[in-house]
Amino acid sequence: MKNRPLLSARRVSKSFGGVQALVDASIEIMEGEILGVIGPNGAGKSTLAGVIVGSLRPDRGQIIFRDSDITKYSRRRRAELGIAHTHQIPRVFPSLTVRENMSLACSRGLGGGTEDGLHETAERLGLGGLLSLKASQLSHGQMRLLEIGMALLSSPRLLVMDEPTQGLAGGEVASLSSILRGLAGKLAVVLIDHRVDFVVSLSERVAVMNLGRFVAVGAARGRDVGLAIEEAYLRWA
Amino acid sequence: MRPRLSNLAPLVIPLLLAAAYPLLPEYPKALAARIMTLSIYSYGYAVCFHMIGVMSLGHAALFAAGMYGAGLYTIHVSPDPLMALAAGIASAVSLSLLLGGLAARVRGPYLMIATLLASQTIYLAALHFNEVTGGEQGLVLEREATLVGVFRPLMAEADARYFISLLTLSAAVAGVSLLSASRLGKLFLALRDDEEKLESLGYNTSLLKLTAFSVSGVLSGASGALQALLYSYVGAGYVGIFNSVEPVLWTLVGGPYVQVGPFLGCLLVNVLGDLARGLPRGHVLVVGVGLVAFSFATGRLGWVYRLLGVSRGREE
Repeated sequence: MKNRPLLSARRVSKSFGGVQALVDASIEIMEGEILGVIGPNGAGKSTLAGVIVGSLRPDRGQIIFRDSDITKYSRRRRAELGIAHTHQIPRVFPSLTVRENMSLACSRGLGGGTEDGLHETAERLGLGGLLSLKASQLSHGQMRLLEIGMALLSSPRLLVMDEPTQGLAGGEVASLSSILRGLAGKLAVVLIDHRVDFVVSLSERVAVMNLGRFVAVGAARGRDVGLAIEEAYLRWA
Repeated sequence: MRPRLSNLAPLVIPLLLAAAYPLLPEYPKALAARIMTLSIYSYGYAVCFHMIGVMSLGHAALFAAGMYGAGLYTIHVSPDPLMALAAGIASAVSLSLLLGGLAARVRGPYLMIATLLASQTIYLAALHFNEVTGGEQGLVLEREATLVGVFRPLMAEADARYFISLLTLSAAVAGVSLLSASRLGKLFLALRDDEEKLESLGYNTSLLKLTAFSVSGVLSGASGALQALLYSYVGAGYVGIFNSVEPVLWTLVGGPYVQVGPFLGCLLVNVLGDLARGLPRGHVLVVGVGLVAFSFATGRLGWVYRLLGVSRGREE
């Protein structure tokens, strides 16, 4: 199962004005794997997330999902195919309660979420007692967990998580780690984060990005990846 | 996200209006009937403004579509006022799909300009096709073809206007209250909060906007059709820019509570305007100060609305 690519980005380039955010970037994400993406600020990680989920249209290159070219697909069509996204700054619906936020996510994507699933996910994320609160009343960390819960309830095939630990306290990071470990093998996750130890501990493979390119892709604890991480971060230190 | 019986608490407004009926002298009764008719338009506007966060400057077109639809139906097709009401609503809904289509493509100030242009086009068309619409002079409907005419054997015209507008307002209040508690209402609020996020969950946001505009079209069109069928008059004056700006004012003054705010705003603006008409110069200032004071107060009346079980349409 894991030998089959779920999504491939092929020679993808994206620039903003004169700034090249992605340069001929190619990567494959296998079914059920957690792929870590690491790199310093401006490496192109969030742009990569954007072109995968459809919030950004690449200037060149292709995005292939389950053997179909989805490069021109809208965000909505990609969500219907099972591509979910959590954002660098958590995005939830502040006027709605936690339950309503999760409930709206339940029936979309591949539509596997149920009321029982909603309660179970809320409990796992520590949001069980907050279901009737308005999302606007949550802390930053709780909003992030809510967004992750919404993504999970849409039963995705691929979950793209952009900086999921940003703004989370130590305990919340630990519970997020345990949730992600539980997902291993069930769905593919692209885990983009600055915390190298967090990404390496959860991912089977890690891709290191710098200046819009993948400079190394390999086993999370492999020597090549370690050297690439060191070089990417030391150069920018 | 299923509506409950308690969501119908805002029906206290029409109940109070029904209770007030025997106590009201003739003029306030007539004014109340007119305000109730216009409040339905105010609710229609609030569906777009408060629920999906779209500010349109072309809603007068929907009101006018309801009014002309009903009026022209009674003149050219049949004098059946209920069918005319349905024809008016159908005309407004058809036009609302056009405005909804615009809302799906353009946003913010561009949408305001686009909707304004759409309503001005209808205004100019109403003036240009004088022989059909009656132009600036408008058209006067036969009494027998109006709703008032149907009830005339049972009650006086003023009473018929009061009860028909009260009945329609009750339906509008109940409809909007149930809508805001329903899954569709929650989707509207989510659309207002973050359209891109909703899209990334797999929702068709263009379709949701079209649905909201259609609901708005039903209410605005019903209000316009009632104008024709209760007051026996249809005229281009109702399509002007002023009639598009008024519901913005009503919903702003009424505050963010979508179930009761549109009525309260419409009531206050019209009552103040009516009281100030007798004043010499400076009456605009009196109305302005009154409106600012009320708007200020609505932000501090949360506990009253919570007691009524009314939830906010817009978060602070």
